[in-house]
Amino acid sequence: MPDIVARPRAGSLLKLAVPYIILAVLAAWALFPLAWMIFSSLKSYAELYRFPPSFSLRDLGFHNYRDVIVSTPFLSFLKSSTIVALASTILGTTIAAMAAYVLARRLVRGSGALTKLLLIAYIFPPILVAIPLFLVVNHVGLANTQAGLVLVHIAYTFPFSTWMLISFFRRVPVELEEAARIDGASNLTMFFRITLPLVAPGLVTVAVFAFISSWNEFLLSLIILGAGDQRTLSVGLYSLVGGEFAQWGTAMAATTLAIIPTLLLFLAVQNRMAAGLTAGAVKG
Amino acid sequence: MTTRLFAAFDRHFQLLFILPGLLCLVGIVAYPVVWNLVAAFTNANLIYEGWRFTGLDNFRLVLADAEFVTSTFRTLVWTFVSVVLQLFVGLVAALCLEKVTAGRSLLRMALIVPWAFPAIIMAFAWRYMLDASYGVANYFMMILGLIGMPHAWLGETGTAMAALIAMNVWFGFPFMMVAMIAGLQTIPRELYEAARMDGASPWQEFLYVTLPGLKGIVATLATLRTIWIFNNFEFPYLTTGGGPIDATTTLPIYAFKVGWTQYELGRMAAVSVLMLAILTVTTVLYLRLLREEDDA
Repeated sequence: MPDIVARPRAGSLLKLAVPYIILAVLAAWALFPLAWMIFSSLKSYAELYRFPPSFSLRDLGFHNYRDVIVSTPFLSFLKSSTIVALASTILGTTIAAMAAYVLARRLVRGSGALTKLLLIAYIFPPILVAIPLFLVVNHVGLANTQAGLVLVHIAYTFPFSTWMLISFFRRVPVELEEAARIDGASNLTMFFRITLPLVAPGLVTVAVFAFISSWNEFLLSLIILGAGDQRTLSVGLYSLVGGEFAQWGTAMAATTLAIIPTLLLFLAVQNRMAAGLTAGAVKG
Repeated sequence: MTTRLFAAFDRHFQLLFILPGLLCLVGIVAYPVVWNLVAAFTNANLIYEGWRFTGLDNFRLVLADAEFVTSTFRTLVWTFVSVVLQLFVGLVAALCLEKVTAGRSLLRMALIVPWAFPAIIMAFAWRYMLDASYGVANYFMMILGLIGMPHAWLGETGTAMAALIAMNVWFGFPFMMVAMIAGLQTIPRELYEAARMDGASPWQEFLYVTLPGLKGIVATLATLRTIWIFNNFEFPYLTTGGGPIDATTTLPIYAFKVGWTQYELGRMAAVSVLMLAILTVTTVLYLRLLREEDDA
């Protein structure tokens, strides 16, 4: 008799537990590389090259971090990445916001075609774009410079930034702008005073996206900056530990330091970024 | 004077607003495409100045190269398997997340972390984990009894592509998951209630309510991800460099080697044009398949 009562309860308990078990396994898989990277960055040289690997928490230290900062150009890479990412984010988001407003309100002829072109840009292989752009940048004397890479990154993030911002601008009621115009406001006043503040959340999302894209971008950075002394983190880390005989301690410390800004930014805006990304995807 | 200048500026502000954007589009789309379409028919080279038209020579050379053919096949496998597995893991994670209540946002946050990894950092983290001599992956798999002795997962021709795909699925499933959660929320609750009243089992509910409700978003995700992975250069380049013995040389790596390592810009342009052709055909096929399903 008790069996009959117990069985369905055990069944529903199991039903409740299964999603948790699956999610726990997936979360462990998702987090392990990050955890292992941080853990390894704190290990001594001997511990890093031991098999089976050591899980001991003793003798951990920051010596690999000291090595990275003292004996590699890490800080120079970091500075270069910060300059390139900040400059291309500020300029790129401004350009994208101006274009997105014009396209969202269809203020120029061919607005529809231009909006489609933004999506088509997505299909072009970066490798097809990289070398022609390098030739132009080289021709104007900006190869191996941060300025050259900033220009390329602005163009690189433009289609997606603009596409995301268009949907934000479309949500601003036209009536607000018409009211401002009746009150005698000029086009520019109206744009900066009325419209732009209303899409501020969108601007932040797009700016963070642009910053992360620029910070993480590799191929264009490699081709534009090569082995020059203005290398950014993604290219610099590659040349630093790219060889066969990688120094794993330094590598893990350098990559841990490099992921901190993007990881924090990403987790801060992930909700809004996901909403922005899927708004377009669900609609299309 | 300044007010009149401002008035003129204000009247035509839309042109000034769109101009920098147009320049970006020319730079990132129009110019590279035209450049490749022209260069593909020339002997352009990164070292020697000047070039002349050589007709279809580049295409003949590329299509006759066995490595190009195997790279194409390899790229299709890499793209297709990665997309399918990313969609599958993303769907499982999304469905599970919808089912749980306690700790949901924390779990979601944990599952999203791979998405934040730059390619270079992911490549190093995975290379160290998969290392033949001191990799932690070998250790875990030996404990679980899956393998008897350590393997060089990225260094053996038989396993390099599989290891690369595992890394790609790890990186790509969070985006799929997030998009599918959004998709799940667009399915009307009434449909589930109606199914339950008709006595549908949970499996039938999934098959006849959830899956059809997700079709639109899955199609969009599959198309976007196919394009993205097909074009992806960083993952194989930074993780294996295309090796061992070309086992992970996909088309972007092949094109890069021809153009940037062998300096043959014309031939690289021909490869790029062929890549674009394959991608366009695939995208059109996808879209047509979708439309037919909608009609049915």
